[in-house]
Amino acid sequence: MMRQTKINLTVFVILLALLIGAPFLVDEVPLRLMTEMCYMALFAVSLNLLLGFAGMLSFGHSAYFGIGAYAAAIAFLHIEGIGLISGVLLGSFAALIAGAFFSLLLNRVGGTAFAMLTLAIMQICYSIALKWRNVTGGDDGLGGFDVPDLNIPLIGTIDMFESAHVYWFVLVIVSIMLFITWYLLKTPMGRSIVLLRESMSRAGFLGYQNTMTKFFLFTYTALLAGVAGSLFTVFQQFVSTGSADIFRSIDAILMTVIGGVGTFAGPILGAAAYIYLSDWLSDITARWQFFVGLLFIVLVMWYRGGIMGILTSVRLKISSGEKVKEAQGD
Amino acid sequence: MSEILKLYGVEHDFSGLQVLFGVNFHVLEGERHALIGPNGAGKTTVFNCITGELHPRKGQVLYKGNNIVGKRPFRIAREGMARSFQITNIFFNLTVRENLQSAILSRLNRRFNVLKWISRMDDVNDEADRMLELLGLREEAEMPAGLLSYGQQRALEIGLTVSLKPEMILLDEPTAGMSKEETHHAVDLIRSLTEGISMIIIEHDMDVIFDLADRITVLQYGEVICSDISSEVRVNDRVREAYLGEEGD
Repeated sequence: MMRQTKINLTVFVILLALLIGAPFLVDEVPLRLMTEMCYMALFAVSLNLLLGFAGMLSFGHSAYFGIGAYAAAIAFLHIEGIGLISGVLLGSFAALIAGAFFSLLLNRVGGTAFAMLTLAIMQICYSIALKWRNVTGGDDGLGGFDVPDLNIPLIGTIDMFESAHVYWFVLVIVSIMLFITWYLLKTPMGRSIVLLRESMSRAGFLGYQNTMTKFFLFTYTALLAGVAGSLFTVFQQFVSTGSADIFRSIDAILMTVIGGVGTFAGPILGAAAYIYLSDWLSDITARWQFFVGLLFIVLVMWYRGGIMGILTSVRLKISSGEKVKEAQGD
Repeated sequence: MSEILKLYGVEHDFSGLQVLFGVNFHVLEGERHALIGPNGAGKTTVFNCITGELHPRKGQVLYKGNNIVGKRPFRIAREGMARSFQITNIFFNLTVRENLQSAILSRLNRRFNVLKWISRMDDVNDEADRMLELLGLREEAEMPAGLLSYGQQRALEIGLTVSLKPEMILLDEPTAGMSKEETHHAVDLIRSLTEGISMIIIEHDMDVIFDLADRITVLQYGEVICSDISSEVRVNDRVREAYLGEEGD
């Protein structure tokens, strides 16, 4: 047990060091890919809170990502002298408000009806992005704004033109949000969320107010998606309807399934694997989505646990092998 | 002794099909009350009307003197009423310990605490340990509840309801599907865990009923045909008729 914790901690520290040192180790292009992995990991973790922990399938999560992205872009474009952090906060806050508002509707339904309603809400948001041209730019998107410098008191100013700076900024914000989420899942609030998946009736008769738990969950996951969307704007310096369409929702679902539904690290690994894989495959063939689809089928049919499931079974095999060796050694 | 629960003229129907025709009975504080009757008599519907799962069309359910008709289940649960289900309803993918923690956290009103890890709440974990001991599930503490034997799952379900430290507890066929031996064990468990708590139990096993219950209410076709102390119910003509058929008299 203690040894396991030590190994986990060592692996974690090495990974973190590699992530922080990445700009010194890799070129511009892979670094941009890693930036994308970071904010998409946060987005997938947010979706997995719904799908894996609360047991609710949402197709509409890209709505909050899009709201975050557009709100941040509009803020950078129209608010004179806005700071980087303020822009990201504004984008995230807009998504949070949207999440709280839509949860009033989503709270009333479950199962398939829930999935369909999320799809409808996403389509509404997408249509607004497409049609409200003088605010969102329609299918031309929103660009032509400068992402402001990051001002850190006592340390100085860091510009957002350098890829490495953007990467570090995204990495830090994503890490903070992931840490908060990881912590939250171990508290009673996290348990309340899991009880939604396990048995709402049992939780209700134990005194849990499921509608309040759902309200919190929908608002919080919308916030996370909004943070991811705002970081997307900082990274791309451009927002189009592609940030809010259904394919982004589906990307997150695929990432979650590939990484391992219902585990904390699953969607993070899934996002990294999915983005790397689609980048690699799209270099080789224009039909790369076909192969991603194939992988998805294989995982769903034979490896339900995704990457995390495979890692766990490998670890169990190693530890049981060690036990056999110990027993033979005696 | 005063009444903790009183049903007055409770009626309910499912899309026009009337199942309860004005149910009246009361439960005294601290007593063990059995609710019996043939299949389809409406026993579980009565439970659902009491606990807020269903809102009866007519009538009143007075709990500690207040009408609780229309309140939602979690509100009623927070007022000290706990229930178990006929079909096992526990958190199957959580460990046995996590199941019990969840009930204890709710009772302590820490459902939405976002600051402290459950694993660091010593009072919750100590209490979960004590309950594991009482239920005889110490060895299985870290096992997912779905992997327990059927009898153990039923015991855990009773453990969940008792962990709320309720003033009133409703058990819906706690021994359904159990062997003679398991039933015996379950009855002992119920008796020891619910000491002093007012209880209504739905049960088909007559041995269990006469062993456990102070008073009995007999339900037939959505009506109470008798509600009295056990010895009176045993010799009641209408009850004999309902259970034994016409030739019983």
